[in-house]
Amino acid sequence: MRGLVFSRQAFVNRSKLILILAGVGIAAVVLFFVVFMLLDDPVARQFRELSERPVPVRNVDDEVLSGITFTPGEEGTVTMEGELTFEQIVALLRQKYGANINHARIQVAMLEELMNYLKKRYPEGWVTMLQELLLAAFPAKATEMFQLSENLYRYAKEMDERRDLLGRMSRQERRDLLWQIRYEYFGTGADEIWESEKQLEGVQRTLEAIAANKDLSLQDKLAAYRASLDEAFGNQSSTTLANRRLSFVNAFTDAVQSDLAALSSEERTAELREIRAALGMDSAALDRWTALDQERDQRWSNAEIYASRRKEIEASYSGEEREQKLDALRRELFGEEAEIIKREEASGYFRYDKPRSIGRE
Amino acid sequence: MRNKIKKQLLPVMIGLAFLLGSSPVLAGASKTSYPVVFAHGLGGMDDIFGFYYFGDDYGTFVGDPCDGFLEVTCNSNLNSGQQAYAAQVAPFQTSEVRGTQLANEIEGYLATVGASSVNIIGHSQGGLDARKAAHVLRARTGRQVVKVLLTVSTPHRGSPVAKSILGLGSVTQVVNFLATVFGNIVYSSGNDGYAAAKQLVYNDYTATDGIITGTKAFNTNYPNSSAAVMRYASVVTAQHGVSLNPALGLLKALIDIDGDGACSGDCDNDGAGGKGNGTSGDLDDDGLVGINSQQNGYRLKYNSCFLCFDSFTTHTTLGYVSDPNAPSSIQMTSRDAIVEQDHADVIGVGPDTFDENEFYAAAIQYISYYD
Repeated sequence: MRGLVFSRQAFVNRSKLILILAGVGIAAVVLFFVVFMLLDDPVARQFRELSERPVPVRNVDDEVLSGITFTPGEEGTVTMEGELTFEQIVALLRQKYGANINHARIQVAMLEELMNYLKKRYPEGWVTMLQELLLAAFPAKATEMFQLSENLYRYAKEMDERRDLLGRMSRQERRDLLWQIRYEYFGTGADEIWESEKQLEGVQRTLEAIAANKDLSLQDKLAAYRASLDEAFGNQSSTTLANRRLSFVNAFTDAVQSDLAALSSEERTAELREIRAALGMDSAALDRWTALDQERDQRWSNAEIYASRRKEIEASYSGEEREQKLDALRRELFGEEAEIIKREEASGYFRYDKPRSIGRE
Repeated sequence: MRNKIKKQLLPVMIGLAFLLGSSPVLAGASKTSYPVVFAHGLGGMDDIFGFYYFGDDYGTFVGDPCDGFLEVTCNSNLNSGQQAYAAQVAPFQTSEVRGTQLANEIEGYLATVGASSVNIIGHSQGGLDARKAAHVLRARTGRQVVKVLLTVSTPHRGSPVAKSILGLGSVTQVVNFLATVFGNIVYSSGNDGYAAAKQLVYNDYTATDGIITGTKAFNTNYPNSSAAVMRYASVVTAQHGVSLNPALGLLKALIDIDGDGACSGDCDNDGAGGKGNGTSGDLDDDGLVGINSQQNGYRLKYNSCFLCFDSFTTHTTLGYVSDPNAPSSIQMTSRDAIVEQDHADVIGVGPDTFDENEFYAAAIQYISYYD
């Protein structure tokens, strides 16, 4: 009897233990699920699920564009009347981006515009709508671009997390890490997406090498710089290059300041003209620059006179009389700009009390 | 006269665009009569050419038009013949220094392209620099060189953040802090982070140092003037705290600006003209500059348009700020026509969801109407 009671007690205890263990197990599973759901980004989940089970493709005819109405607005603006339909959005996407849609940079531009709009319009279901529009607008590229959208989303999140760290890095460290992250998310497509940056980086490295090199002649430095520009921008359009011409010249003259400073005035004038010509300025521009250089030489020459006579005035006069003498001197040497120079000095800035930046001022 | 012709031609151009089979809203900005010079703000310019500051998030300068066959690394919203230039001045300096440097840059640019005048788009401190540059160019040439001067997020009446940075302690401490936010470029020669911060406080920061600094004195020295600039306009930005670009996090940690109240001068002594309304967490600043500091000339309204060309129009009812030191109460406090972006969103600090290419193309379209 005692044995029976004991074994019944043991059975009850074992059952309790099993129940407790089962309860703990279920709680752990539930907890794990809750934590997983909390940590799992719902947007990332939508991307994942839609990649596996895409929405059906809708066919859209570009004829719907004729239904869009435009009216001229104030100050030269043009406004679009009413709200766009799904079909009209699809047709506009094709019209705006279709010609270059094979290029990753254009795909990114389109996706950014779409995602920005859809997030505001459909805060909960924007990922689904994005896929639906991509499939309807560019069915052959939709899967690839939907994947790119997910990568862009994840890349933006990672950049937000790393921004403080990137800000504290040196330029080179920052570039290295940025490219590492870009390749991680976009593979070699990163080169196409950030093509503009890629173009400049080679030139920038050449400029840094030029600035650090004490042995190379100015001619050789210019030749090396031109070669790097040709390599980077050989295929670039004329307006783009024209817009950048002065930037290219300034970057080079900044890098060779010590070489230019070592030349006589005549040699420097000739050298600056040669640099500007080599970097694409035509004869009319070169002549305008020659005139500007002469004007600037005169300003700096006046500045030297000003520095010495200012010292004399400051040593000889005081109070109101000194101010009057200085005013008269500035007017004599700097004309209309005298008042501005006076204000600069009142703020602690003496523009001519520093080495001249050759080619820039 | 030019504007009148443009107005008359607009309906004809829309009709022509239809006949040619293209959508007029996708046509983008008209070419400006004079080139557009972009003037950058404080710091952030550690690339040699300066294209990234006014770039989209992928390094393309917003002023580069697409004029090559199937060219893609460009701003497709611009006229293919648009002339634009990204000027470069010292990243950390006063606007007295940077304004003169900008004038020199513009002089050189005019010689390069053979233009007689320019328009300027200045972001942040670049807007102050532009105002001074216009006066320098006027003094040198005896004529109005700058046509439209458009400022974006510019602290015309100072920024409380600048005063908070200066309050961190010694010159070294201030410069070291700037380095953590903007990078080591603040240490490079020709830069003075401490002086730059003093420039961006409204009142003279140190009464005993024998020099006069701050935006109040700057505004007196370089007032709006039709002799120097044909039209002043400004874009005001603000964003709620949670949406702020993390790049501004360190600055936001110093002070959450309450920048939507009006008074004469810096009556609450926070470093910017005007005061707050008692609530710092509302839509009253862009992380660096309060809305009461940003309007100069006309305030512009940004009309965003999905899949069609965005535009800027003048907010006429708010009126014109003719004296940067004396805006009206409504001009300091109104949330009308605020572009809901933070200080860094409207430049090439990515990634973000803001379309810099279209934003600046719309600004160029606005300029083309007036220049």
